[in-house]
Amino acid sequence: MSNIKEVLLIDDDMSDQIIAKEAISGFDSSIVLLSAFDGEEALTLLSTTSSPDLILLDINIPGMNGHEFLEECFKREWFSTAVVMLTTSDQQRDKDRALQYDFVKDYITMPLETSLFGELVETLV
Amino acid sequence: MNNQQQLDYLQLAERMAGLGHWQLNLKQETLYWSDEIYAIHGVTPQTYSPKLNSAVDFYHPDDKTRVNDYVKNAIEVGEDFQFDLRIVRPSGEVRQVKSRAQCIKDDKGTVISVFGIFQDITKIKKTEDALRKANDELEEFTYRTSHDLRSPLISASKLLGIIEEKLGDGDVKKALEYLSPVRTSLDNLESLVTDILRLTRLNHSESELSLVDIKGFIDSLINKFDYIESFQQVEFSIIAEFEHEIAISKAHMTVILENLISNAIKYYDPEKQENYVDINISKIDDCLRIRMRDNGIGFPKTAREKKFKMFNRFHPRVSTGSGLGLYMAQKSAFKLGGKIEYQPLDEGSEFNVVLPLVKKKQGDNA
Repeated sequence: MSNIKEVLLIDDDMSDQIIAKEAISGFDSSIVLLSAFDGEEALTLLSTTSSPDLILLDINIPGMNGHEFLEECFKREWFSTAVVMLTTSDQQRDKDRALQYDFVKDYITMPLETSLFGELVETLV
Repeated sequence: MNNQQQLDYLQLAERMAGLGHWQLNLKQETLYWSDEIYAIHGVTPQTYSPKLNSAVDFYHPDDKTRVNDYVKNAIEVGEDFQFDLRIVRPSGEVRQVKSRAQCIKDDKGTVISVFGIFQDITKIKKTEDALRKANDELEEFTYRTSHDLRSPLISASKLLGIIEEKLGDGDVKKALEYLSPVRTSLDNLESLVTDILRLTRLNHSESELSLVDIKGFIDSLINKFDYIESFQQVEFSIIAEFEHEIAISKAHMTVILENLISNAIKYYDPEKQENYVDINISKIDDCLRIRMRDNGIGFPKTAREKKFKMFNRFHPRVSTGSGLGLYMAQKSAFKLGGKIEYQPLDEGSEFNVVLPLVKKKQGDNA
């Protein structure tokens, strides 16, 4: 069992949603996985009903991209959720740009594996 | 060659190079300009007599202090200088200039004059800027394609692995359910590769002109999209106030209109009972204007400024295109000397394609 009860995945790709779901449930089937398909949808979720323990964020999402989503989060005083980048980009400039925020805890490249998610949860605790 | 001939050739050489020379004589307190320097400043010896103070006044307000510093250092400590800055002609036209100066000293080391050359580099700067822009764009393109091409491949491959596991566990239902997103990932990859190839062709395609009946052309393009699921939901109407055939590049016209039309079909608003796209063809100030108004879902407010940039997608759940469509359409419009403008409507979008009407040469039928 982990301290992570609820994870929000921000990614519009259906395959990535399934891969994340499989990886997370393989680690702990009691974790609830919520989905947002773009940044705006995620911000609405976060400001209204949802308070996940962890956000998994892709960079290449429709509308505002992952980096712009982080900027929006930074502007909001109430925002304190841990964010982990989950993306196919292994570019240093993407890593640097994301990891400049204190609330961004890690940067991992896709695909998400059960073992990788396990390690991630350990470091977050 | 006598002195006069030498002077004449120097003047001709200066004109051909867009480069002039000047001399500041500190003993006599005079400033000499060659003819080309007058021309670069947009003045003549009849309208302007060069003086050090007033010559500095030609510089752009943001650049004046720097010029004053260079000149001061040259006169006081004999420091040569070189700079690329801007001047403003009396007409208000801004020109980019390159200036190089060398201090001439007497036996005691005192500066007695400053000699300089002065060149109009506006064209070179413009070319440099265009190259820099093209280079930045290419870098962004390479970065994005390497990412966007790998992404669906990684996802599809991983998901196929999960499907294999499910089949191994006898969970055929789940395995079948997961096949559909694999197909979507691969379809996305295919459409991205197709668009990248189209974009590459677009960059190299010549704007060969042919006579086009715009209304008929749009009609035929609309019907090409009957395979899109929402095609039957959208009602097109075309009003042609301008009905003449025009000479235009069919290749670029196709890129522009196909992208706008297919977007209008894909991004219709399923919440509305009636979905329409109104197209109006007119001629305004020697330009062809095609106005497309729809009552579709439009763009999210936060992302509007990015709509013509490459690799930008706006609507999750609706369609996962390559994010290159509007970028390519705008690029084609630029190639035709025109542009596409976007106007948000209360409900939907308005795009205005404005293209200059080119007069076709006789016997130049494609």
